[in-house]
Amino acid sequence: MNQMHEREREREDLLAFLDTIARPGIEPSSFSDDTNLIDEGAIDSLALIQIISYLEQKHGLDLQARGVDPNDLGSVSGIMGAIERARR
Amino acid sequence: MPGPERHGWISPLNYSFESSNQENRNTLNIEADVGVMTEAVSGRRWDRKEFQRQVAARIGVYQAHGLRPGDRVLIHFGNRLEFFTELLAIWRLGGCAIPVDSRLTPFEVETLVQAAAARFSVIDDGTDPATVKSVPAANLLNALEPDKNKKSASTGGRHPKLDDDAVILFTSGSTGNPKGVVHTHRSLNARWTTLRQSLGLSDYARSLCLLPTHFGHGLICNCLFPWLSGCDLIIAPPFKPDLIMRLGALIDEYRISCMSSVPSIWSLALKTAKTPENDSLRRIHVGSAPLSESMWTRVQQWSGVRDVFNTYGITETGSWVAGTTGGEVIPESGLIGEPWGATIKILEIGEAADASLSAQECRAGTTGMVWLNTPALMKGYFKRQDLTDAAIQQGWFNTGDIGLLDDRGRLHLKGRERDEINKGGVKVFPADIDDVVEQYSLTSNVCTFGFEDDFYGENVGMALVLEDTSEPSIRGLHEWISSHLAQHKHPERWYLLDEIPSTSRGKVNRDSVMKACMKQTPLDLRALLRGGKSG
Repeated sequence: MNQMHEREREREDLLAFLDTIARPGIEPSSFSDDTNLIDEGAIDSLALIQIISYLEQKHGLDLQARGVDPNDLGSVSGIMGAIERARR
Repeated sequence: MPGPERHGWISPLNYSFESSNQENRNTLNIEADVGVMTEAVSGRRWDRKEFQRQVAARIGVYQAHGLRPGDRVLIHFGNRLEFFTELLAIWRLGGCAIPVDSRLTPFEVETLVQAAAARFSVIDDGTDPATVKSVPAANLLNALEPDKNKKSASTGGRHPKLDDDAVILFTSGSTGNPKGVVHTHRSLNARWTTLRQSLGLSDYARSLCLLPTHFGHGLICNCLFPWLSGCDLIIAPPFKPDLIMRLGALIDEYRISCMSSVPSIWSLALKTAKTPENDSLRRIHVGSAPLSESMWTRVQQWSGVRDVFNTYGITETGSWVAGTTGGEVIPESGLIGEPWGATIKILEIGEAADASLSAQECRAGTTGMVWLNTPALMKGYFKRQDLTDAAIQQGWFNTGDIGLLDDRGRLHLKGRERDEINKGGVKVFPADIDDVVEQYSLTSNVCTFGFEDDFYGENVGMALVLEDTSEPSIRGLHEWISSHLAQHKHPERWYLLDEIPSTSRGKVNRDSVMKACMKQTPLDLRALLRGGKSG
């Protein structure tokens, strides 16, 4: 139960963050979690670096050391998956 | 082999001369020695013979449509094999190519089409339909259209002359009065020749281009310099994050020996990409934006390459014009290094600077305005003699950059006086944004400026005085900007002011406006557009 609650809190936190880097007028939360937000034009491709910094600072991820599938960083579910894998 | 050149030590690189008679001495056999080119994503690969075949076919198409020497052709796509085929075919017919940023809005494209008075616009299968609509249908060609006449063969076209206009690169003014840098084959050849003399060719044997082909750095130096010299080129879509994030693997897969880049590419690569496992990489150029000492060192560590050149380039000088060659280099923020086929002068900063006056020249170690003299200097700005006269004095080009020469003759950059925002290596011109915003019916005044940004180095801010600051008015302006400006030019921060700060003489200084705005809270545009509070 706690894990589910924690995951939901992290998801909401992620969406709030994505909202700050999304193109004005486009809300990441209006897409499904599996939608690639870069392909949809909600997030500029160069903003990936901001997502990476978020993961480093918020979740302590070192993507250079672990390696990352670029496609994982385009969607909410992909980013959540990267966070969960890093925790294991 | 090249004979003696009119301009002394500058001889065309490896463009072969057809004969020794005077007419042909000034003509170029362009695709005589191109290397193999491969698309990194699709894996498509064309060698010299295939390029010759493709170019001949496109010459046939252009001839069928009546392209004449001196005609200008807009190319609305880039970073693929067909782009280079178009370029060579246009050159072979004596035409001038104008590569266009495919991200521009239809409004910006229309502005360029009118300003360039181009004979044709070439599109591909990826061109935005809205862009296609903004081009007169009679002038539209499709690069993927087959040669229906089959008349071309390899005899089609002529070889371009050295003083033919080769490319026009529009650097600013996409919303109003476009500023196009005109390079002739002579100036381009001078750039490539001087690069070869300064840098050699061996390290460029397999070059990787991750930069767009519509601007000087990507086109003239990263792509054409090695490829027209017979080196292989691996071409990728520009700034594609998934490629950058697997940069090490890409380098290994294509045995890349050299790559050029901008700091924002490295920001992403250093955080995400695994290092190359092989040792094919021998040289890295980083340019178009300031390279910090820290990033410089980290790029060296990541790549295992000592020759990481902080490269100084300006479109007007055929891009790469100086860099950190010349022995052991200790990374240092702002250090550029020695000129490549150019002479550098540092002149006292002043409105009436004259490069020919040695009295104005700064001593070593003293900061001033950077002036360049190079045989690769542009012919001028397209139909803008006023701008050309302002920028060039007796062959010397005023870069608008501030710097110094140290006691070893190495250039150090200290700042910039020209009016541009360097967003991650992509130049954004505040006047272009002001032009658009001023035309919005409820704008009273606007001043766009650059501000420091952790990710892009600089980003776009906008001080704004509106007649009506209600939500619908701001929404309307956002829509206006979205339909008129390419996305990378959109201001990231909006500051609503009662008036734009000006000097006692009534002039608006963008830097002062930026400083005034940084003390204030920007509008929360995202919240406002969501219908929430605007902050």
